Amino acid sequence: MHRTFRWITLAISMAAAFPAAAQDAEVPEPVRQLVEKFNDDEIPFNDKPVILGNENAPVTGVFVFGLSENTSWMVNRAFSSIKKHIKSGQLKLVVIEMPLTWHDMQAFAGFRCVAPEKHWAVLEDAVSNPRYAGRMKNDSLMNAPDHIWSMMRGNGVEREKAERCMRNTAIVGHIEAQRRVVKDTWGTEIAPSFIIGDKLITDPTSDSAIIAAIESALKGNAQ
Amino acid sequence: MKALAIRLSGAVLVCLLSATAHAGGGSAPSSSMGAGSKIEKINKHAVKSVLVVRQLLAQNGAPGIKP
Repeated sequence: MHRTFRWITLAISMAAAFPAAAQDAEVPEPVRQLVEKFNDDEIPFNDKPVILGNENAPVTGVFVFGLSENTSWMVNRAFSSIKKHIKSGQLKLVVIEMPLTWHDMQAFAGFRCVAPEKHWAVLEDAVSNPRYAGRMKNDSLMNAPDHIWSMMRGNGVEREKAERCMRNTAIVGHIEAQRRVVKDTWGTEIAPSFIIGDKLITDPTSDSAIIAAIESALKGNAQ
Repeated sequence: MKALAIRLSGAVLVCLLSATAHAGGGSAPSSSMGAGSKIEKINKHAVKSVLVVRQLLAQNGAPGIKP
């Protein structure tokens, strides 16, 4: 279960590696139907990344966050030791979203209309149960708002506005931009991933490599 | 079935993202011009947002991001 989404990211990478072939690809009908429902409204949204920890922490890391069972496992089972470094003021973690499917695109876009101070809580809720993302992705693209709304409910955004956010070209463009920056900067499309100093840790199966990278970075700063 | 559904979802994203560069062009069937136009807009927004995202990451000291 923990490895379910690895092949998806590989598929994306393969497409990027063969742009000539990809140009001939047709947009599948479900995507056409979805995208035709998108709006160009000018909707204010939170374009800032989630920052966990003290802004002056000696080490800054990046958490590439996906709506996947793997990210769910990481946040729910292996995050406590990382949180200790955050709470102690040693680590600042910048969270960046990595959409793996068009379900994720809609979800991350919807979350951008939640108040910035609640953004991390919504992301945590979205992966609090590893089945949430799986259920959403087993359903059609058009039905994604039903699943996303259940993750957003209670965060001060009415359903009608939430759906407009999920399918807004500017907000979805912002989510896609994050995917491009992660791919172009750190060369990965795998979520979860962590970047600590010069170390890229993709799809970790425990927190040990992350903690080691944090402690190595702290030692490097101390020298 | 679950694996198939996930595989399809992944393929959907692959196809759309790879199509962004030329979507909305003259070769698109007339019935899909609405989708092509939207895809083109998403792509334009993404190109602009890349600069914003990089700037915000740099401001926050993300490793590997040059200001």
